[in-house]
Amino acid sequence: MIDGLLLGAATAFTGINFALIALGCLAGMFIGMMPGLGPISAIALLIPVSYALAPESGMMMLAGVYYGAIFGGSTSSILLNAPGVAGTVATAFDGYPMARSGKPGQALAIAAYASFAGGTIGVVLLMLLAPQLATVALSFQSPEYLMLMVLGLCLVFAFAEDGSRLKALLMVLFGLSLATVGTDRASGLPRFTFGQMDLMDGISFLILAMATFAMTEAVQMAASARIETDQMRRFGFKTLALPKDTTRNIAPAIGRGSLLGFFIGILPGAGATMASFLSYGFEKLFPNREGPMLGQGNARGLAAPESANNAACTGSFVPLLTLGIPGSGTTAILLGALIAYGIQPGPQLYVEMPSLFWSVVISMYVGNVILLFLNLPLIPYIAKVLMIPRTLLAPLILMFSVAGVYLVSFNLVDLVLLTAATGVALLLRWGGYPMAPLLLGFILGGLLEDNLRRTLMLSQGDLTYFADRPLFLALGLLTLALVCWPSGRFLLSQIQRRAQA
Amino acid sequence: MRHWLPPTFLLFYFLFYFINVESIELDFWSAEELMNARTLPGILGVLGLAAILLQLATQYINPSKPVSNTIDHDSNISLSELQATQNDASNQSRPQRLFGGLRQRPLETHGRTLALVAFFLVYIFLIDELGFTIASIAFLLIAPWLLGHKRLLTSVGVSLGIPLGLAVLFDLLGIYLPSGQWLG
Repeated sequence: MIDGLLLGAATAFTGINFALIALGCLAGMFIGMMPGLGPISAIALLIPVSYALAPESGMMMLAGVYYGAIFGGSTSSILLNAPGVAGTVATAFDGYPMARSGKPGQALAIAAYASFAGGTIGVVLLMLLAPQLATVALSFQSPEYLMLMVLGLCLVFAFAEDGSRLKALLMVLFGLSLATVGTDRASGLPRFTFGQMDLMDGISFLILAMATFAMTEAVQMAASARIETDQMRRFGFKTLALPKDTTRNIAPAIGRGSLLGFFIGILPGAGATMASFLSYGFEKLFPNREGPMLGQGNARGLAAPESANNAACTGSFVPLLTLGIPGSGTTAILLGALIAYGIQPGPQLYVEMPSLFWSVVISMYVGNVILLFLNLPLIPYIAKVLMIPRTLLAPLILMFSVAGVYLVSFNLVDLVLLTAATGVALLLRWGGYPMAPLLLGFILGGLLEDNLRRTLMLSQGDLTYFADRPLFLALGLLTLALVCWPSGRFLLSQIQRRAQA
Repeated sequence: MRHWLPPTFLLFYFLFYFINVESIELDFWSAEELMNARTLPGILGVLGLAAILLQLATQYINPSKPVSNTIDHDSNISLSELQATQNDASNQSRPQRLFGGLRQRPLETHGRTLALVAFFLVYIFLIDELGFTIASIAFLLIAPWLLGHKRLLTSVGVSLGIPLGLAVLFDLLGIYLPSGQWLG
């Protein structure tokens, strides 16, 4: 391994490669900041540039674009409540309230530190455990994936407060039902399209994310009382240093988020979204010692998903580099780039092209440091977005939301859907229905159905099939514990109250 | 109305969804399978109807008890709401704080918001007719004015700078932006 690291360092630290990593990170960060342009778009746009380079240099640059885009994606979530990619939805839950409550600089700084820590922990684990973890990833089959999806959906119980669980459940079901619109992946036949060709591909994630978060926010901002810019000036745009209490509070959350994110990231298909939602849900299970409640601008609620999605990005390189299996849409494009270079990804890559494997690993270390140092000085300037008066900011958010949806498809029907979805989202928010479970249900819907179908085919309806799957049973028990957790907590408090009486 | 309108919408949605499950076409092979294209939608339809009926029943049986709205993870809190929370120690639920306050706001704000929404719909139409860049310039020039923004110079700068900047960026990236039907 030491030889490999030295080989990777020798490749990554040449002048041109170092510049390419920095360029990739910078381009990814700025493209990721724009709502609607996620890592897939960023990499797809830069692939033609990478063909002119050596395979190692090209892959290092594209990897830089990938984690740069995830790193930058949190900015629009935190400042505008406009998560452009699914992986940064959970970042908005606490990042946006924190920014709006007068700590935009601190929120962006926490996101930067958490992303850096998540990325770095992920790289260390990738370096130490990649070949072994690839085997673990393979032991995850459809039943385990199914249970992982169910676990993710059950986290709405952890998300929701007492009394709003039914609403959260309704929103999950609403999200799942929206995910069934479009062509059925198994039979290829249309469902709920009502003869509309534009619905054959289903409803875009971007439409729902923009409608439920950014668009409704802009309308409410326009409808709210006047917010004077002077009031915003009091806010700490330059406050990047975190108080000791906050640091102490977020450090364990970052550790948990990074580990969970990395292990979820190595599972093909799970990815950064699942990782960030799971880590956020698990944070709800830990007692809150400092600051506001989770969901109202808690530093822990921002740090955990942010570290998880970055660690998951690094984790997704494990199946790509060791097995040649792309775990997500982005790594599928990276796989395509590898094949275009004439390299056959798979278990032999590690042996046959060690310089490529190790240079990508080292470039991730370098990239994380570059991103942190690029991002921190820019935070005070980026955070000034919040100083824009609401009369200008609300139309800007509307325009960027439209841009995020329209500039991906150039389809007017998508804009009509966006407008309709915004109307529905406003109505549901008016009634106090949470939007996050809706998005969670929508994101996991397709995967859930695919894995349920495969699991039923494998088991042939025989329940004893699951008895031989310890991982499935363990995940099932965890899900059950999570569902029972609120009731158990309630019972415990009742018993304690009676004992005190 | 706030307690009844959203669940009523969901009731009709899940009813419509459940009824339409039967209209999903099945291919010859999957009709007899353990799981086909109708299975998950069918389950979701039943669960959705059951959950929304339970929600409505809970509200009907106990109308005096306000429906809990403590959605702490739903981060869509506006700045005004957060400031109101800090200044006002009242224990109103979030949508009460969020939307209840609208009643006390001047009629002018409602009018301006409605004007923004109406102009947004025009903007969507204009994108197809004039192209994204020109429609966005018009939107960013007029929408702030509708909301009461008085600094014309800033509006002009933003309305020209951002859409044109995006157009240049997309041109550099080799992405073609349609110019709209009116401009060919």
